[in-house]
Amino acid sequence: MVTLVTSDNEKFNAEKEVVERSVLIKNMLEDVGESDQPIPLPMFLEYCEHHRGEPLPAPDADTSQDDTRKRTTDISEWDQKFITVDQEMLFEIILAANYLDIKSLLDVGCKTVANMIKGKTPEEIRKLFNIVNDFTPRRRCAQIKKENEWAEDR
Amino acid sequence: MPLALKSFKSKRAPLTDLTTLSQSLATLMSIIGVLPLEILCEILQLSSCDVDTLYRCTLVCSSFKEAALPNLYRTITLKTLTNSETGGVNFGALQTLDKYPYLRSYVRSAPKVPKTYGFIQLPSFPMWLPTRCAIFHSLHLRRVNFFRYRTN
Repeated sequence: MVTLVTSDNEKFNAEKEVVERSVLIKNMLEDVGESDQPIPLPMFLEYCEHHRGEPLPAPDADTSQDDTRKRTTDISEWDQKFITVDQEMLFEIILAANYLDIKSLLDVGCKTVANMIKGKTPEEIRKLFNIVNDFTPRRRCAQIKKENEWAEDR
Repeated sequence: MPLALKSFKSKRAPLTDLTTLSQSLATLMSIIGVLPLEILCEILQLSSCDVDTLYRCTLVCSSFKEAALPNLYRTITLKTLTNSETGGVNFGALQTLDKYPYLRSYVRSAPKVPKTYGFIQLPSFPMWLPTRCAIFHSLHLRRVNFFRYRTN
C-alpha cells in the first residue's frame, strides 16, 4: 500500500500495483523504495483502479507502436464516460496524465479534444475553447491562408 | 514525432486597456493558457485531425497555428497554384517550405508526381520522388528556385 497526498492535503491509500500505471509514480517508488514518505498527487486513482491488470506500456515502446496508438481514435465506453467532464476538468486530467506520465490516460484526453476540434471552422473552435483571435492585423490571416492554400479542400 | 518546435514566443500586446486585459485573462483560462504547446501538438497529431481540420486550426490563433503546421506538413500535396505575382505556376506547399525552412524537417511524405504534370513540364530532378524530408534539406531550396516553372 502507498499513501498519496493531494496538494490540498487529502490522503488516499492505494495499492502499489494500481498506482504504478503512472510512470512517474512507478519511478518515484523505485527511487524511494519502501517508505512511508507520502507522494503528492492529482486525481487519477479511479482511472488506474478501473484499468488495473491491463498490461503497462513497455518503457522503451518504439515509434511504430506509438503510431498505432495515434491511429486508433476509438475511446472505450468506460473511458468515454470517465472523460465526460467540463473543459476545465478535461484539461486538468490531460495535464495530470502528462505529469504523471500515464500514456493511455493522456491519449484518452487528447483524443477527446481532437474529436471536439474535428470538422469545426476556425470561428467555431475559438468559440468552443474561448480563444481570442490574436492574428493582427486581419491580413495576417489572409497570408496564412495563402501559404497553406494547398491543404484547402484536398 | 519529435517535438522540437521552433521556439514559440507570445506576441501578445502589452496590457494597455481593459479590452486587452480581459482578452488576456480569457486566453489564460482557455485551452491555450492551460495546455502547453507540446500537448496541443500531440492532440493535433491524432488521426482524427485530418488535413482539412489541421488547415482550419492554422487559422484559429497563433498557438493553434504553431501546433498545427508541423502536423499539416507531414504529408504534403503537390497541388499547382497560380502565382498572381509572377504569372507562373508553383506548388503551394513547396513555396511555403521555401519560405519557412523549419517546416521542411516535418515533411515525411509527398506523393510521387509524374514527369509531366498536366501541361507543366517538370525537370528530371530526383526530388520528385521524395519519401523522406532529407531530400528537401539537401536541395537548398533557397537557391534552387524549382517550384516555379514556365508553361510549355
